[in-house]
Amino acid sequence: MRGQAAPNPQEPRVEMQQGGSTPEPMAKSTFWERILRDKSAMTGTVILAVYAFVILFAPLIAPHDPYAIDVDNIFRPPFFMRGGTMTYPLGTDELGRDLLSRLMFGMRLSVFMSTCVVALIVAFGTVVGLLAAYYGKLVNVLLMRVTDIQLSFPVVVLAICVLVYTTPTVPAVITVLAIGNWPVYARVARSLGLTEKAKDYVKAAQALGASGARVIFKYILRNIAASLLIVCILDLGAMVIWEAVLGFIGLSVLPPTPTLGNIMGAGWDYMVNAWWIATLPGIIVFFLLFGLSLLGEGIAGASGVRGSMQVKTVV
Amino acid sequence: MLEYALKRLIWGLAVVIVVAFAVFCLIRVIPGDPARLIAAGGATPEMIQSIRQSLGLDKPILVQFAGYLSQVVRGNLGTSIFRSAGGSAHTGMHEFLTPTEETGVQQYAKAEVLGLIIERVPYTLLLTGLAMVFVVVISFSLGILAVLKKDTIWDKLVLFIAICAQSLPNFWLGIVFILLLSVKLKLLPTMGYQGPAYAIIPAFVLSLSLIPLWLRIIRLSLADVLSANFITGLRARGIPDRLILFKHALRSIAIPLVTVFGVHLGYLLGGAIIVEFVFNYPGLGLLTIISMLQRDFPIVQGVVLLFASVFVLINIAVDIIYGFIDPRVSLE
Amino acid sequence: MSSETILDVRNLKTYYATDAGMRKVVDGFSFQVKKGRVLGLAGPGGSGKTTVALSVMRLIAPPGKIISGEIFFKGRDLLKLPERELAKLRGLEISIVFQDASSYMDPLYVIGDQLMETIQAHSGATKEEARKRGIELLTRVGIPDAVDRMKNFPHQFSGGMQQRALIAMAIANNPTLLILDDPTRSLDVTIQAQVIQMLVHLREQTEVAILLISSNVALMSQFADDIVIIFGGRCIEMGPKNTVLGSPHHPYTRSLLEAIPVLEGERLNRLKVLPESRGLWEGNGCVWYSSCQYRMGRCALEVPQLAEVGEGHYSACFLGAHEPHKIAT
Repeated sequence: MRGQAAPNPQEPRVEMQQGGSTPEPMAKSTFWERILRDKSAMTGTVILAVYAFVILFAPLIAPHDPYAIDVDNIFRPPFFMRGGTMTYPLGTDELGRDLLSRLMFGMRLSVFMSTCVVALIVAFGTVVGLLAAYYGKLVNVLLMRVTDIQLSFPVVVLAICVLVYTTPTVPAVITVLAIGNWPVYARVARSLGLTEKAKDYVKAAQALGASGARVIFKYILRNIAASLLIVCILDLGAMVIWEAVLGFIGLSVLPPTPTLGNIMGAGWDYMVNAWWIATLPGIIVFFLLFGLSLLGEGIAGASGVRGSMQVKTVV
Repeated sequence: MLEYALKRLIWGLAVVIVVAFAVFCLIRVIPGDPARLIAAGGATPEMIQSIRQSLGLDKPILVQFAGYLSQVVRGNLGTSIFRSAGGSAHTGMHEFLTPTEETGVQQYAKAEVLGLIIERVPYTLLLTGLAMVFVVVISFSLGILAVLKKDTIWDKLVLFIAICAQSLPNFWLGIVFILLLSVKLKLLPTMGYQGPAYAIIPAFVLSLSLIPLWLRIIRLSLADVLSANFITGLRARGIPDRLILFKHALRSIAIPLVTVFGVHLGYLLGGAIIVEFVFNYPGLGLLTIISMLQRDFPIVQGVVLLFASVFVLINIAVDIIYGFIDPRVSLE
Repeated sequence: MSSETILDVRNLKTYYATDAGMRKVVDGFSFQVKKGRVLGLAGPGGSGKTTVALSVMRLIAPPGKIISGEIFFKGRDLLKLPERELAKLRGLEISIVFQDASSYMDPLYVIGDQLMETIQAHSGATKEEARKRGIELLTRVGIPDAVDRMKNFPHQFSGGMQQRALIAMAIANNPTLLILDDPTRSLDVTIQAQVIQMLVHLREQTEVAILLISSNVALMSQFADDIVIIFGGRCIEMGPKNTVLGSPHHPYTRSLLEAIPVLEGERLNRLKVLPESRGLWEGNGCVWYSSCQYRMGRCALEVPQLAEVGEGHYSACFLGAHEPHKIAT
């Protein structure tokens, strides 16, 4: 029943196992410090850097012209298989075109299109979503109803509907994907906005006479920027998959222009004897998304945003 | 309660009609004249015009749509342009030619859209249902594992699986499965349908699109719930851990899951379209794609109408179920 | 008359890891609760009271951790028992009633379900038997229309009723030790009185040992037999109620009791004089040093041990038993 001398703060004697180890005091760190320390986030960044490099410098580093036909060398397998050569490292397709070069250029186009789509839906969806969250009432109801309607049937159907009847040019595909995916985005922005709106700093700003939406936009936007960024990164991947889906059924940009999707689509017909044409692009898509996901998760962890919330997949 | 359901149903009906109208217009307004396609090569302008007339394409859109709606209400979703009642697709020309000595072409009765759809629904139901079962079983097992072994290697592993599943285009996985199982290893037949077992692999591939989403929701929500005060209260009363997890915690996370369920079903249906295509699985999805590529628009319309209705109904059901699950919510 | 010691806590240390460092929430705390007696644990907010309660029940979760100490319950050291054994004790032999009752009940299940659940978890009672007992318990804690109320959800109860329902769940299996963590805090005054009445009845009818945690000194004086004062995670004074409240020794206790008669006045005083012990204890020496009007040089360098200053009355202060309390110049 006697008191004890003040314990030595450095070494608390651990006698109990409560599950987990002795609690360590955490140093306060900044966002950048945390993310640079995150191994998986850094791995993701490295992967993405490689992709960025290939995409930017494709015309310089691609071994062949992606459109060049070589009838003597059709259906060459990749170099690691019997019959493969290093001239065509990943093999060739049904017209003897080098798969590696086509993949590089395909990556370029697919990523370009996806970036455009994401840019469009982010801009549009965020604005609309935030407006609905902030102003509520009519705008809100309108948004919810419109998105209700649009979400009422799968985007695939919509995309197919439109693209079957028009020539699928790059802008057309971008537009269709943008139209198909903005409702989800707007809802994400809206729910983020609603959460922020309930927070005290908004009321404080209003009390200080912040002039309407503009200034609130500046505040709210800054606070949800991290969440939005994460969603953007993950959406980029989702759009790449969308393009791949459309290309696979022949509704993306048409050959001979290579996209990851239409290479797979064309290769589907030759699965039995030239499986690499349809399969390898998928691996490329996989690693791209993998890198994006790692980076996204890393940013989520480092900025304290809880999990990556509205991640959606495609098909 | 009842009037809430009624209100939602009416709104849902409006949504379905708007959607149907949108598709209706889309198909007719966009270039790709169905009449010309039916006529194929070598048709004279007069023939095309008569085809157009018999299809009612020369009337104003609203009139056409009204006509369509009135037929729908009577249970007639129209007739396919290309598919014959016998089950094979022919070009549409035959319908418009009367058998003469010159052509000697037989007239084929055209398949009813409604019939075609009904015929295919069970297959897609099987596929989607099985996929949903996979989603629930796999995400819950992995999710619970991840939360119980939080911050250990198991947790990271589950997260890794989630990221992988999300990074794969699932039709690509379908391709790989077919390649490995049928072509290379010659283990199982994967394409087509000769019995319910043929739905297993397509269903699994389909489930992979939802599993990462559910895993995240489960992991997050469960972790949240388990650190809530009422769980401490339950433990303080000596309630066994197993009971706490399965009776209380899981019930609490049912709510966020039910909320997203409607939207997820949309993804699942959309995904089914592609998966059926890859696996040549004879469901609604395959029907949709082929009809679209053939510009067989009555079928397209019928399917879209169905999808929209199903989606709307499910969302209403979800809202109502939500009211039952969470006693704190009152439907207004 | 000496009664049996039910709970014997020795030198409990529970720390929490925070962004700002290791918080020594409970830092060497000892006390005993005897059968049939009420021990009041008093102290300001943030002094570690709830942590003590949770530590006894071993419900401390990361980032908190029980570092060392011994908690003897009927002779067994709870800190050495496997989790399975503990679960058997919780709700059966040791029960706790939390403040803010509503957040400690599952919002998705009716009160009756949760009451019956705790009854059936510890006895072989059938559903019907559990239900009868549940109704009986609700009536006993003063909830009218018990039969109907069994079918209500927690959010359909008022604050006072929620608290009473939680108490019903705690006493359902006739525990040997009952821990009450500030049970009247979120209640308004009239309800408070009713709940206290009920607890007094309970005490008369059973021989339950009660650990009453509260920052409400008036409640203590009404209900407790012995009092122990906690500040900064350490025990600074303990003894029979009348002694501690009548002739407080420790400077902190004194300032705490300065204006007891008027509740509002006490609160005002507390704001001025008593800082909440939230900060990390950086230095060596007395926890009360920085606010003490009687402080001396050695108070900053050494930790005062609990010393006897009266019959069964202990105080952790360098001022001796009968030394006049001289204000430091």
